[in-house]
Amino acid sequence: MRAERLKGHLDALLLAVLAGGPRHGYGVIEALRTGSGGRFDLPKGTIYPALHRLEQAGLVRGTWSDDTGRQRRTYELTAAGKRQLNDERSSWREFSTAVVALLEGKPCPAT
Amino acid sequence: MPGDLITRYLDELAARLPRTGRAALVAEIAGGLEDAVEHHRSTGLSEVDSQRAAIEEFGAPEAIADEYAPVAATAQAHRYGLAFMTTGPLIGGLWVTAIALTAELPEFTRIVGGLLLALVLVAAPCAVFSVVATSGPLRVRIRSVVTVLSVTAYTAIIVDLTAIAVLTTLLATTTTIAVIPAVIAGVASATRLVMATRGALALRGTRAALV
Repeated sequence: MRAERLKGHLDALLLAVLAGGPRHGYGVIEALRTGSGGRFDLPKGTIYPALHRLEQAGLVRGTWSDDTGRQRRTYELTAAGKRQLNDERSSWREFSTAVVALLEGKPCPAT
Repeated sequence: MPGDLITRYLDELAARLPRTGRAALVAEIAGGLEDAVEHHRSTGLSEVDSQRAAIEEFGAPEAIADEYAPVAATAQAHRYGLAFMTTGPLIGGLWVTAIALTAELPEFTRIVGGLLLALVLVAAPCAVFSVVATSGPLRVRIRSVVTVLSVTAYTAIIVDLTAIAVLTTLLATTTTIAVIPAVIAGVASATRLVMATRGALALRGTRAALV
């Protein structure tokens, strides 16, 4: 899947990946790839700036950890990040229901 | 030599990143590459091929730098915005004190003062906006924030230069001026002038990098 298509959703996907617990940058990348059945395979290096953007926005917290003698940065969701993820989930549900209704000609359940 | 490919990649990346946060990001990506190389090695690839594969996966340094540019710009706008928000009232207070302690001021200073005050009334909200916009998730384009903050920076330059020029004129021509408070205010303005000039140049560079 093309990176541009994913771009607008990347932040929400990163939050979703981190909802399962704290991860290293590389762990986030792997989770994104495996969680999407290999479809979301972005240039891995661009995930790091994206994580920094989320950290700057107060949605994730990054801390340097030194497990097994290696310096790695671990990310976890903040309370604001959890709230944001919930908002993203409900707005995505609404959006995707409407898109499916139109693209596949199914009636849209009235809300 | 193993390690050369990775080192060259990281050097190229560092050269493209703005100074703010560069070291930390490069260190983090270096760690990620290590993980990736190890993963490929464990699948049976040679050291050099593992490095090549890891670099391939991580993508072009330009792509990483492009993704990072708004992050660095946000941090920069926040920092300069706060700097203007704190120095502004301080410098204003010093000038007001100097004026209050001066017995008599020539008429033209009142007009200049009024004009400078009008400029401050534009610049101050711009600084506040920049700080608020860069706290928490961005809801406006960072390029717009940088533009707005540039208004503050250029205005601060004009205000400080004018204030210092007026002070120099008064010191040369008037005897009624309260010299010590006025000089303190002048020095404060000169210091801020340096900061504002640096800020204006930095923000111009950032704006150009954000396209």
